[in-house]
Amino acid sequence: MSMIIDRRSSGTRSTANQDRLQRRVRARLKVAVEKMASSGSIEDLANADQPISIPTRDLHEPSFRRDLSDTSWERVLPGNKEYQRGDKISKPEGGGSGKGREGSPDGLGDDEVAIVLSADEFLDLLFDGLVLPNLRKTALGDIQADQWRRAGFIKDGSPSRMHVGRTMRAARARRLALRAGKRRELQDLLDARGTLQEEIQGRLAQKQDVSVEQERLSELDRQIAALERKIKAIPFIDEADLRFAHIDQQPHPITNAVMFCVMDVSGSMGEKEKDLAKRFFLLLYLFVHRHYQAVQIIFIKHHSTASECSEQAFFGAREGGGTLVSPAITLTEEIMQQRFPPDRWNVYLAQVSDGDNYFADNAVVEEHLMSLLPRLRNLFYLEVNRDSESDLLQLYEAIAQDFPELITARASEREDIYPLFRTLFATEEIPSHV
Amino acid sequence: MSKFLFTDNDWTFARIDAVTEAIADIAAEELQLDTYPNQLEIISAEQMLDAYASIGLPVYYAHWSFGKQRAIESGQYRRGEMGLAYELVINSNPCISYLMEENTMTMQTLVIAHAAYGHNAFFKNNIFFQQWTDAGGILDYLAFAQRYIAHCEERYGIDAVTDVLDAAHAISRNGVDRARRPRQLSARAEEQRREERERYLQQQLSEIWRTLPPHSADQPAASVSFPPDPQENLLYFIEKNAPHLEGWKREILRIVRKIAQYLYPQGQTKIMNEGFACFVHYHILHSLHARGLVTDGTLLEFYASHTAVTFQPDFDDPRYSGINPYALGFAMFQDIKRVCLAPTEEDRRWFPFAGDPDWRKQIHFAMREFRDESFVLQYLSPKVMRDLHLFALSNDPSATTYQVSAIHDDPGYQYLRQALAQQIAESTRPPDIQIVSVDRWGDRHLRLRQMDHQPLAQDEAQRTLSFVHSLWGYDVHLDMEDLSLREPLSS
Repeated sequence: MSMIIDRRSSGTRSTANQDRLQRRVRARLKVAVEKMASSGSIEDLANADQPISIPTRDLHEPSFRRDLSDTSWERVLPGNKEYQRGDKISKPEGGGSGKGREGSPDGLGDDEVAIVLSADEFLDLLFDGLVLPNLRKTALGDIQADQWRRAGFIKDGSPSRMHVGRTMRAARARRLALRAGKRRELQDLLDARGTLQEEIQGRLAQKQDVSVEQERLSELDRQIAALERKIKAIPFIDEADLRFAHIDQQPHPITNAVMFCVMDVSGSMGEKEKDLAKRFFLLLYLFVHRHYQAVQIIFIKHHSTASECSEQAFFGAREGGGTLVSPAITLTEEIMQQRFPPDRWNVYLAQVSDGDNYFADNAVVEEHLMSLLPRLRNLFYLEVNRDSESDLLQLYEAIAQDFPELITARASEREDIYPLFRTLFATEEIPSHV
Repeated sequence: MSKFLFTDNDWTFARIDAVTEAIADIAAEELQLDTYPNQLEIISAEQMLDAYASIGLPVYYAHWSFGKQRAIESGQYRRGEMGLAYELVINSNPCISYLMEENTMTMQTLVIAHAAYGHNAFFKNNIFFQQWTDAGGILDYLAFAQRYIAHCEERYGIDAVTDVLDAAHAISRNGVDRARRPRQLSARAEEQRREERERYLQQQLSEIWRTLPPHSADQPAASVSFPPDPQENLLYFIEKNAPHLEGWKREILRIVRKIAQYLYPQGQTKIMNEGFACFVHYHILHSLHARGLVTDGTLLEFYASHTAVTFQPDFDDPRYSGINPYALGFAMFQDIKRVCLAPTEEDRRWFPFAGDPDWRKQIHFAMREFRDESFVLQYLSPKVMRDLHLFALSNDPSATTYQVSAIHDDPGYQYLRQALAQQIAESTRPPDIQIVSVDRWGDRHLRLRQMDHQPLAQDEAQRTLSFVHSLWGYDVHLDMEDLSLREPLSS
């Protein structure tokens, strides 16, 4: 009469409702996310599963309701201790009938709903309507690479790829199949032998002749022995049982990307400039990451020489000396050719600088860029904290005339970065809905 | 050899099976409960939150308000402000009860007794559930509703569907036939009937569209009002008569209306339903203990949960948030049994059935034939009023004090009973707003009138009215009670 069902594995089903809720408050969520992106700490941005609170008045569901606040009413209450009929109790100050609930420790009042966004949803909102601009398509469309993949099992192959489990399974099946008929035959013979022996016993008891039966018995014994031999002769493993794991080459689009972060660490780049740079790199990283399975980051710092370094050294170190940009470009090119060949990797270059460069170096930079740019997906250049455009920026802008993949921008305040990011990557069409 | 069904407190499927069997025996032998077959489903806390968000229904269409509900509740749950109910039960055939995986074996036992036998029997036998709901068809109907609304979203866009649902939800409490027994949901035929309806509906709207003069003299004159009588079911009237509404929107109104109708008895019988379920689990757990099937430890754990559930904080307690339906309902059902078995002089004056040795018959009768309002009017005894220390407080807005109008003493019992019944009636009933006329020959505006006397929240009413407007397609007016003070609202 009763049935017990385990439903725990069927998971939750609230996704559709949550989607619709987020859709409804999307505008508000977006404002909150953008605020976080432009002024919040970088840790918040990188692991965003913080609740975002939305005022419930945005989510109010009206209906016909009574309003008893200034009308006469009567209520029955439990827990009378000293009242008698006719007692008068003065009303609380302020005329409010109920007591307000205190806010909870995390600052959410009764009139707010906290919506927790997953990292993906957060990034969806953060990068809503943005695309990577002027993404260079390779001649073959998306880059393809061959990859070895498992492709089932085959009957011959190199011994090193023999699949023991499959082989034993095949052997067992063959043994079962070959034995079954013989076993059945053997059983029949044994049964016949048994009845024959009983018959011999019976005849002997009645002193009758058993020579024919004895002959038949030895005949049966011979047959049984032959069958047993045959059954034993079925090999435990046969060449036909062997199975080998097969692998095959299949074309596979390249889904890995590498981002080179290049920054000027000469004395002119202070804490503030580094913070701007960090924000810019992080947003770029998150954004690029959405397009690819995995993104590697290579940090290259430079002053008059360039070197690859760790993230900590990248953002922490301040080194003196003059500034040369070309060594960084050259180093990028070298690393790319050695470790990230552009026919296997989607290569991005992001560069932040205050624009200082030794004057004569600009020509060298231009030369290197001309050879490097065709192999990049995008080059992003951000110039920080300068009142006027530097020569370097002007050079980049000139190059960008021929290479739209090169994107330049300037920023001087941390709040500028996210809006700047949006203008850089906004789709050209303006959304038609309001 | 001990007969204990379990001695340590972890649940297993085998134990649940054994316990359910033992409980079924007790329910049949000692309480003579008539129940739907049971389907017990083990779920996780996350799934329980899901079920909360959709009013406990196992299948429901998607809407942002359920997402909002879940966001609020899961927030409270994570912050530890709210414990989850141990169970949820659905009025369906078979009767589905959810058991949380976190529960101890004692709790699972309690939940099975409470939900799978107490609530289940109530769903099957209470007259309001029998009249307003079709337990056999509801799961099919919910699945149909979910499919249909998903299909509409695909075809007309999520936003368009959301708009209709928002409007329908706003007046769903005014979408129930309270006086008239509704026709049963026939879920399987629903799909075909819907298509037929869609095809013919536009033609049937001719009542409102007809602008030619009447053909013959005996046609009703233009001045005859339409509808002839006021209509209390706003959703139904709009579904059938709105001039421009597309077929799929009418169907969505219908779905919201049908589900509101299905849920209506639950709001009407909260005290009785919980009270009866508590009465049943209380009896069953004691009986299990008396038969030597559960340990003393289990009984003690049960007492801890039971008293927590049926605890009624006093009005001046910070935990007070109204009368606890579990506490009141349980006290009243226990009292019916007491009045049967050990009546006092007072009980004999108050209740004709006092001293009836067949207490089961009295309990069954009370459980079958009443709803909260009439149940309180009929059965709230002086003893229960004294135990709960009930008193009535009245407010005159012009006075500076509240006045105690009755307490639990001889002159006050009748008064308290009526005041409590009145209070329950008002809290379970939405404001009575009815459709009185449609200006068929003019600008087709729709006129609503408030039929009861309590003031409406103005802002709310205005916003609700604009939802009605969005469905009706023409102007909507609401005449409020006490016209001298307030202008009619319009949208």
